[in-house]
Amino acid sequence: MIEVRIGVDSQQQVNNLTAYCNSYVAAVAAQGVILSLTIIAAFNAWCITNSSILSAIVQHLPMFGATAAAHGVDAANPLAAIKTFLGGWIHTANGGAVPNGTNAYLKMGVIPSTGLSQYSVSLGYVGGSNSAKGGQYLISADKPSAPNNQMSIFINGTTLQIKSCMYDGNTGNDYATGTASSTVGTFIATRSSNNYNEITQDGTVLGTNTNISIISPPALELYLCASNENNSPVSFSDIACRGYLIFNRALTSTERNTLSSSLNTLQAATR
Amino acid sequence: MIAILTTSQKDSLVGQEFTPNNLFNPIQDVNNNWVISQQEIDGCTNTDFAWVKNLTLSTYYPKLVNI
Repeated sequence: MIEVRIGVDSQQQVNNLTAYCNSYVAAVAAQGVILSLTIIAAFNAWCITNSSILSAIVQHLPMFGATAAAHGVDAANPLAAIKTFLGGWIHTANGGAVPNGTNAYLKMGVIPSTGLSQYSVSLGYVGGSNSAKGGQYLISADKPSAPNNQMSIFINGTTLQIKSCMYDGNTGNDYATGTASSTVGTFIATRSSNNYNEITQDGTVLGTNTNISIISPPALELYLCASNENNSPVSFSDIACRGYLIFNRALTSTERNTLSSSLNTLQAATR
Repeated sequence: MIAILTTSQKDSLVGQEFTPNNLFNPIQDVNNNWVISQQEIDGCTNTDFAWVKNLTLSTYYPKLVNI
């Protein structure tokens, strides 16, 4: 009770606190973590900057605080059950949640076939550390047997090849593919029509695809920092996760640029 | 680094928290040994599983996965 009281007092010291930020800070406080005024003010500013897209967020883990319980709070659904991490994670105050690349992942609780739109969807992942690990998935659900269907963001830490697959793939022709500048930054994958898929890093378009097979979304739960391959996690990531977002509509180019820059501003202000 | 488990040790850890909101996740290495990671061992605050602190660490050799 004392810790929650302090949390409320801290929130009151930030002027014009948005409902989105207020609910998130309270939910984190309920997990025993009192966020600093610096974090609250920076996150509130992020909410104001992105106010036009907040209602499109299906799931959002900002990953502030230094515990699994705090990192597991969904800002888009602060009353939902706290996400549970599996395997070897390190939960830091300044670096987000760091998966070990061996057995660490998180079941996101979102099944694309029932929870997301087919031709209008965006995924965002904030990478917080450099990695030399080869093929790894930041977010993925992959049903490799017929009918193949996949939703994923993949990156190779050695070559920096990045691929996004939004509801199709496994043929090699359906990915938006490019080369990242590093594994640090904000990656956004967007499917904005029946034939357009795009992957960006910090607002820069890395790859597009306009020749996409028409395949339904996978009926598998999305995993964070691994790929859900027929309900088994594979290709674990070791890139620190400083937050992720799932949108139930395609963000416009302007929205993606604003989101990327504001997420990077948020990282700089709070890490 | 990882630590190799017996099957009964693996069974006892599956679905259990090593710290609040973080579950053990035993996986199999290239030789089908059940293993947990050093992060799970180092981060374990659950006194029911304090025995993991006595496990021997060794290098992890993953199974190969086609991507």
